[in-house]
Amino acid sequence: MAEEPEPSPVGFTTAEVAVLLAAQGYRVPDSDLEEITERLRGLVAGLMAYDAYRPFDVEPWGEWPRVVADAGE
Amino acid sequence: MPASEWVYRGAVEQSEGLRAGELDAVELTEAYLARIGALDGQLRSFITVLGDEALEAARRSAERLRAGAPLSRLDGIPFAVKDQMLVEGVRVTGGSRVLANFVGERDATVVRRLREAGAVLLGTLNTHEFHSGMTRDPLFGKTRNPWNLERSPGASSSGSAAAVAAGLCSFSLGGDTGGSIRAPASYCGVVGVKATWSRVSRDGVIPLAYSMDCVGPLARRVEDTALVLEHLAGADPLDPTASRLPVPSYVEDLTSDLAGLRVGVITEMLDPAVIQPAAIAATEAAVTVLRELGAAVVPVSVPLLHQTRFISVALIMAEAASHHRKWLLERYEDYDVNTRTNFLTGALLPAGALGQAQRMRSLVARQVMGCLEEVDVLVGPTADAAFPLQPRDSLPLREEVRASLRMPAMASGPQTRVFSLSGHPSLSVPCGFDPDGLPLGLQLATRHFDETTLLRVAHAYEARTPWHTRRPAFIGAT
Repeated sequence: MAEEPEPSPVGFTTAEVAVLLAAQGYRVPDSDLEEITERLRGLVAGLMAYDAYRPFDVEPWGEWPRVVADAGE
Repeated sequence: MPASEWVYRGAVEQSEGLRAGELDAVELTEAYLARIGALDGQLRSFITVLGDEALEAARRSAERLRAGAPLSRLDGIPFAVKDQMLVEGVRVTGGSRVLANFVGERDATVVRRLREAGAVLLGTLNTHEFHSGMTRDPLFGKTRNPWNLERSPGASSSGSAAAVAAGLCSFSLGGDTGGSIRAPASYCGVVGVKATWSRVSRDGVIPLAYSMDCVGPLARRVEDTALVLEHLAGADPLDPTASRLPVPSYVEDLTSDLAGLRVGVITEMLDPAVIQPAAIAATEAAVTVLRELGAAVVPVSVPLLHQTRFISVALIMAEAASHHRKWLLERYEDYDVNTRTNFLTGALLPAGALGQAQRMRSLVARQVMGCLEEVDVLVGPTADAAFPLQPRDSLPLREEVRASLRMPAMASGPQTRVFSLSGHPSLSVPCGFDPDGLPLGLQLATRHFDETTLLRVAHAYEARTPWHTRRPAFIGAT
């Protein structure tokens, strides 16, 4: 088993997040912007720390149960 | 025996009573409607109660039963559905102000199949907004746990579990994307089944995350969920993702003999760092019962289990953001603050991070499938006992977010999310109580499309234990 990955800080600022949201057409209150920024920082840091598990060695989830089972009908 | 004494019986037992003429379909529906009227003001499990329509459907069932021509074993059995599934002519909100005035133009396939089988629809059930977990300000109030009104019934099929536990319907339908059937079932002391992803049609069901969404039954007995699942499962021209595999007779395959069965206990699920001691003790006791029933028990490992909450949340946020884009642009303020900030976080997730989550999902699925090459059934606790309603909900939002994102290994949910990510069928069956008298659930999982074994093991365990015979001390529920 790989060692438990330690997330590194990801430094999105609220201003950067506001630009990214605006690029998709979203305008949100400042209080929401802070929450979204906080969540995005944590989520991206956590996901990128998974390099320790070598996810790049496998294909993205493609073993859909329906596809696998129905192909064997 | 008066109908009021049948309300806590299982659907299969009620069906036998109806066909034998010992129970009247109209009186059974009236008994449930009376209980809803008397008890649901406190419980808040229902959103819409279809009193007149239910009685009319029950009258038609009664006529068929008297004529000896029931449509199925579900004919005359009262049920309710999570406010996530279309019901013709009925308000379907997804628990959101965004859909506060939306009325279904037709039945979802799962609702239609049950009605065509003669089951009597009592109404729609409360849920967290768009089934996405904690809603700060629920449109229809917070559903309470019948075992302790100050505790949560779990999310997001809150009403579906609470109503069954309180004896307000014979069975219910819920939706499960990361554990939303199984965790509430565990919290409320009932059985909840998430079949293999794609086993049950999602046509007419408000989505959260298409690659994990499942619809399934909650009931007081395993055999009831087997009977309902038989009617729900199968190909559907309205849902191209629904599997075309034939549906076996789950009820006929229920036995109490587990000789030769190989059971794997997932060691990471018994880690005291992520699950309460009472849940661990109840699981270990349940494993002893399975061994007594003839199963061979071995430990197995899913090393990535503790990472599944994080992976699952990332995928759900991203898929939900895509589905909700139109409403997020047009109705942003109508969303609960927790829902909208979650969904917009998903909208901003970089493609590289999303790809990372998708590949981690592959690794998780491989680990689960690897275990199921060695054993027939995986077991572990479903969840902790129900948490208090108020203290958790009153946490400052930022504190809650930080806690859940920065300490994913400590957050609740990995026990159920692992099988949502891998697509495997799994269920929760009552397996005891904690020192405060709150129910605990045992989670089982089997190979893709092996719901037969899943239900058979749960049925054998249930038959050997007393947990399903207990009722909440909720006023009037005894």
